[in-house]
Amino acid sequence: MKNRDARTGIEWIDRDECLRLLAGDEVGRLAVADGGAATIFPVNYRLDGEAIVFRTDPGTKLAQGPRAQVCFEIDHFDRQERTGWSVVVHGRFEEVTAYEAATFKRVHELPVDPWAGGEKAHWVRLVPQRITGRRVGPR
Amino acid sequence: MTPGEVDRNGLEVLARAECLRLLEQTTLGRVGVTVGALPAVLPVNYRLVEDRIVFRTSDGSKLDAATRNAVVAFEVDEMEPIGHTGWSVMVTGLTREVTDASELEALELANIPRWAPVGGERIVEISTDMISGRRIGHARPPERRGAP
Repeated sequence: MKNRDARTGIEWIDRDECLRLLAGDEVGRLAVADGGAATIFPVNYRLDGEAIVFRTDPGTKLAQGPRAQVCFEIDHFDRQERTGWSVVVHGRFEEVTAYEAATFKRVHELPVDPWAGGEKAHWVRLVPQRITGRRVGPR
Repeated sequence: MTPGEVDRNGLEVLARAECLRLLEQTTLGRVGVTVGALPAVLPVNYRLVEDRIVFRTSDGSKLDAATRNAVVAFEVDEMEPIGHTGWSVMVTGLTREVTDASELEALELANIPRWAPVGGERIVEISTDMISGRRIGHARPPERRGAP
């Protein structure tokens, strides 16, 4: 039984399927509210359970401070078929430090391999508070 | 900015002209907005029309509410996981609703994509005055428009 928005015909993707889609990708977009306006960064990521893990250097993302509210998005669209989906995760940033030894060890074993250069010594988890997904087009 | 400039992460910094060329090639972008001071990302179909980003919003949608005279971010990217190559372009600007009849008529010809249409809608544009772009991996020489 499809869960559809009656107004737009857009199908809602359930949480498990959203997590499957998140597990199957490695580049997403992170949005932070920097000085009141949103800014978007493409990031390489991996999943740690339900948390999104990425690496970064000091800069705009880390400057939002610990436990900053952020948004993460992945999508896939097919222009020919006019189909596509997107998954949006809302949650909080948390930097993984050696103080949480078990998480630190587990997260550092993830193959988060940024395509961009830079040391990227800060490992950050985005712990989801809300995961939503939508699909358009025939299925 | 000098050609071939790279940022601290080794990414190639793209010139405005190259950013606009890339924006012209795709029709799916993501609008970054703040809703109640919290960031949100909304995928959107758009066209680049005379150096402006133009898209539709349907009445009552989240996108509609978040793009009424707001400062938004707009992002487009293309990533190629096998070769670890890709590019992204970011625009920051104020949204403006297009209401002028002649402007709307001109935009009608631009064929602004519409994937999930219903009911009333607004045409919204973002200026590309503030634009930046990055390319990762081996850079291809840009194909110049109008080149033989």
